[in-house]
Amino acid sequence: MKKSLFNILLVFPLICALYGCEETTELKIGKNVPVLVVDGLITDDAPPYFIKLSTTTDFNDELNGKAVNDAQVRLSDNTGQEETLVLDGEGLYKISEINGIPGRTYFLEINWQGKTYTSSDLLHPVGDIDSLNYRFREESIIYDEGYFVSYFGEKSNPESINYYRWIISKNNEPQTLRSELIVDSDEFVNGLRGLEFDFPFNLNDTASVAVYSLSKPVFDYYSALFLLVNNDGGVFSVSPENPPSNITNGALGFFQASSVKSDTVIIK
Amino acid sequence: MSIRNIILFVLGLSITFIGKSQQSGIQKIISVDFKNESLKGAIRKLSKDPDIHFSYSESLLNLEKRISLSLKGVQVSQVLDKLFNGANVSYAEVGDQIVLTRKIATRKKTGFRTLSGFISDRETGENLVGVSLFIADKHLGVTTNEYGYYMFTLPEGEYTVSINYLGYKSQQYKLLINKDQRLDLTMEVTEFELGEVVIQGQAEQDILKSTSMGQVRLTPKELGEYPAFFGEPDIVRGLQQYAGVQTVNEASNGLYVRGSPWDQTLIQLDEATVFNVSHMGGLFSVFNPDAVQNVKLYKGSMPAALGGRLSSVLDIRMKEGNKYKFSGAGGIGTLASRLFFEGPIKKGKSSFMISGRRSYLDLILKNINDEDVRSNELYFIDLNGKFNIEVNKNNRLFISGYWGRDRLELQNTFGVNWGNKNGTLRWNHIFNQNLFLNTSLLASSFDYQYTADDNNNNFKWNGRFNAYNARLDFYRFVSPRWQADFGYHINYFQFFPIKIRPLSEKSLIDPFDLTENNALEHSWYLQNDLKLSERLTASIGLRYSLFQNVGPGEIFTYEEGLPKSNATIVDTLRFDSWEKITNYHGFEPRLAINYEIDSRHALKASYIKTRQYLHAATTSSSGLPNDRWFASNFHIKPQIADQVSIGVVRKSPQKKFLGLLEIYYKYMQNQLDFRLENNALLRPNLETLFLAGKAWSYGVELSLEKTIGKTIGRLNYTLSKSQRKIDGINEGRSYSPVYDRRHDLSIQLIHRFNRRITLSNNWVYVSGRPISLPVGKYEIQGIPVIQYDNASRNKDRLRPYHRLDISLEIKGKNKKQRRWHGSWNFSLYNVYFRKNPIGHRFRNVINGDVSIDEDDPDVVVESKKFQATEIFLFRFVPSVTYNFKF
Repeated sequence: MKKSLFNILLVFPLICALYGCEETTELKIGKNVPVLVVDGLITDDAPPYFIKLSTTTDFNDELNGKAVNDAQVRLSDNTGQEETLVLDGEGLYKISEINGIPGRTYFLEINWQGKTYTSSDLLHPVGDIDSLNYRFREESIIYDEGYFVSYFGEKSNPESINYYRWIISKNNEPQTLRSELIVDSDEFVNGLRGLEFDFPFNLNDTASVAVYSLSKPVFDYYSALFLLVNNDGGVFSVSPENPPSNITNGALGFFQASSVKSDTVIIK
Repeated sequence: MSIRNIILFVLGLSITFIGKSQQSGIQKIISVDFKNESLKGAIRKLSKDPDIHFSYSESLLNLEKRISLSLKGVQVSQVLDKLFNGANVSYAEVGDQIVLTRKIATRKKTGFRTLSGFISDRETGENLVGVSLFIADKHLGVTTNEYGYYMFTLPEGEYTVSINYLGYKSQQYKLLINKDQRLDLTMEVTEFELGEVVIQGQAEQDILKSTSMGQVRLTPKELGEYPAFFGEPDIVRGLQQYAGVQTVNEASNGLYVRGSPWDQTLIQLDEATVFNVSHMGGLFSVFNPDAVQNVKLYKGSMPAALGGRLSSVLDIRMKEGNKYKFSGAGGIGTLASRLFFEGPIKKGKSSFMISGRRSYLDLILKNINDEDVRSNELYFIDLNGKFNIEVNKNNRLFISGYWGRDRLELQNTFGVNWGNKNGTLRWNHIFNQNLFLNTSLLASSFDYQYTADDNNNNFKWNGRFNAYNARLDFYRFVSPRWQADFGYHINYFQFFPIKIRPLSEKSLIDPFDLTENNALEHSWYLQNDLKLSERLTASIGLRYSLFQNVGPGEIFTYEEGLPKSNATIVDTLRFDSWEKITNYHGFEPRLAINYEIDSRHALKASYIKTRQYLHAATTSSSGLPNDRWFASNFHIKPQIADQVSIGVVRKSPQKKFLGLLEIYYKYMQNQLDFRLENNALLRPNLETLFLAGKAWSYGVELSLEKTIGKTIGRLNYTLSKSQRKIDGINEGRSYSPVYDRRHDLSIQLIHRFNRRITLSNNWVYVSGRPISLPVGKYEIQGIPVIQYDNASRNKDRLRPYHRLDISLEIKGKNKKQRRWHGSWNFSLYNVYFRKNPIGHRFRNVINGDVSIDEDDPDVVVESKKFQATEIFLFRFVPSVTYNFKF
């Protein structure tokens, strides 16, 4: 469900009138010391993949981050493969040789301004997608109007707890808004049979779903990131902190190795 | 029948039925001029005054003695003292009569006699808790206990006893005590008269003499005189106005007492534990003021009988019901309505009370012609009931209960409901003049339920917390200077944190259960109240608590030296029903002293140690009921606190003002803070989510009361600081918890224009809540993210919170013959429209309009800026309530 219960309460007309509202505000926040931010991904799809490097900016800066173009980035795996990445676009370092293979661990090493940052992630396999379904729903307090897609798939490993991320695409455009950070574990479900995504499609849309396997550290990162970017500002939201990064030496962000599978359905 | 017995008989009877207010005949100012008059003649002359009535038997007294006496402008009592000086006659005022008796020869060895009884409301027959009885001649004071019973041991003799109670007329009695005596007294409610004493704050004498510190007493009647949120007087909101009680935001009804989180306050309704006090997500509390007689919050020192939580105890007692006549009350408000009914079952002997309340927002919504709105449910209901049976003079029985429920349902797809059930069975027994016993059997339960029924995403999710409790409380009067209370309490806790069941075959959700968590908590206590000298009183208590974690249950063991996590589990130990898992125990000493400097000043000091074995994990984002209670176990140690406080009381010379200044310091060990993780609520091994550390808080509390005159009111100010220091949080540095508010000021005033019109206000100013402000920002996968400094948790603050509320009460014409009394209450909350922030959000603002949802696919984006926003609640809430009594 997209809307938190807090938001649902706000929908009630009477309460809404009495609850105040939200207004933009200017906060006095000073200069910031830039910190390296890593946004890296390798999958078992065919290369290329990219490691994106940037730094944090001042809170009141126009830009939400500045690209880092002067780093040395190397990728390796536990079988001895190694590759030095080449800058290809603003802050983008291209992986062109190494192809992700389930069961292998990938190591990332970044040298920037005299500091070395390292990270590693185990590439887990991901379960098959059996089918995608959809149904129409009318506008309501909880949902927007539209066609909603549900997912039928296999667990990555029936013997253990597995972690997933789903990315929905509408007409081949990935929807990566903050509320669509869909990550979950299969710990409390009896299978991935009919997981419905809270994203409305229109008639004749092409709906695609890609599923990524996640390691526990990356899943924890995404979970914390989700809570952080959806923080409702209330008192009971836990005190915000930077999500737990799997990168050493104080860098922000994360490095993810995933198996990926996808499927498509056309809404008719 | 000896003369003494006749006199006692007369005394006993008349005192029980005729209370006398302070301006009695004996205090009347007169002038006399007797010249060689016999005593008999002098008495006859005095009797000519219409306000002076004597009662005596000439045959029993020797009134032949002749005297000469000339006095001007003196009290009758002074005249009598002179007249009977040397004569074998003594006098006592009984009702409106002056009773003359033969003086009992002062013996060399006087025996001790006990005076005891219940004090009740004259109109309703309800017992009054905490009435102070004071004997000026001896400089001794006692108060009635939780059941309205008092005991008093004194050397034989004559005494003036005054009784005082908040909102009641003070009374004085002259008593001759020469044998153990049962004396049940009644008191009369003060009705407002211009220029008179209206409310006596903390009972007159009491505060200067008692060792109690850090206590707040509140009656619903008093509460109802101040402006109320939505026009609904709320006990928890009322308490938040007092010094030392903080809140985290205005939509929350947690009590954060002296730098402690809300779960460190034990809340009891007729002694039964209340686990969750929320109605409507925290806007109201579950206590219907109509049904409540008395509220007491112990935030500092507390008697050894109380404990189980670190910081404070909120003791709420329900009304017992009128023993003499049927009556009712109620109110129709903007948001909810109330109805209350009480009356005798057997006149003068037993009574009942029943009270209900329901909010009706949903009933209004039902009439809105929009299926989307109509098909939702949102309400709360409360029911309170009590039976009070006087079996005989020495035995009383009470049965009381509470049931409440909140329900929110959205279009049959999502629902949440929660509520408390409490039951109390109580038996008061008087063994003899010196020993009183209370026996209670208590049960309480809180449960919540979520249901989701949306295609394959369907499940029912339950949580339940039960507490069963048995208590024996003895009250013993050892000597006039020593009262000892002792007893034993046992609690059995049963926590069923989570049970999830799919609603249908095709549900995505697996059945899921968390193992139940059971525990026993025993406590033994001895509390001594000692009168060490004329001015010095001490109360010395010792409590010993023993906590047993019992099966069934599961305990995980972890690799030593590593952080506890699922990855480091070595073994799982399973325990059978009632099998002992972990034991914790310890002493909890309590000490409080009071030194009365003079009739207007007193000094106080106290020390208290407390242990807490139950803890709550709060994970909800809007006061929803899914707090998870859990018991200490092998990994989670009990919380321990030590608190010292000193205070000074001062009354202004005309006693118009009462000031109280207290300073406290509290040190807390094994404080838990949450490490957030997805599905934290579903973890069987909570120890992997908690980090333990220490906390401390200190502060100064000032409260000032004006209780006399047309304008009365009170001021409460707290200057305080609280800190926590936990390894693994904030990089091990100390930080402010969200309830750390530096300044907290509340000014409440009531002005009575006349008998019918009353205007009151409430102004609060509180320092902003601690928050963490970002230091910068960055982007992950195109999503802007706030950067924090992980070592500056809660270093910044929101803007200060302040607000003014006003309320106007207009009573109907008071006609004696009419049973129905109505009054209108108009109130305005947040009169000057202050935007009080409750927090910040950081998000992309689209086209400069905060109301646009960034993720809405239909919006045409013209501009997009990552910005900070402020969220605020309740800009202005007007409300109207009609209250009635019949």
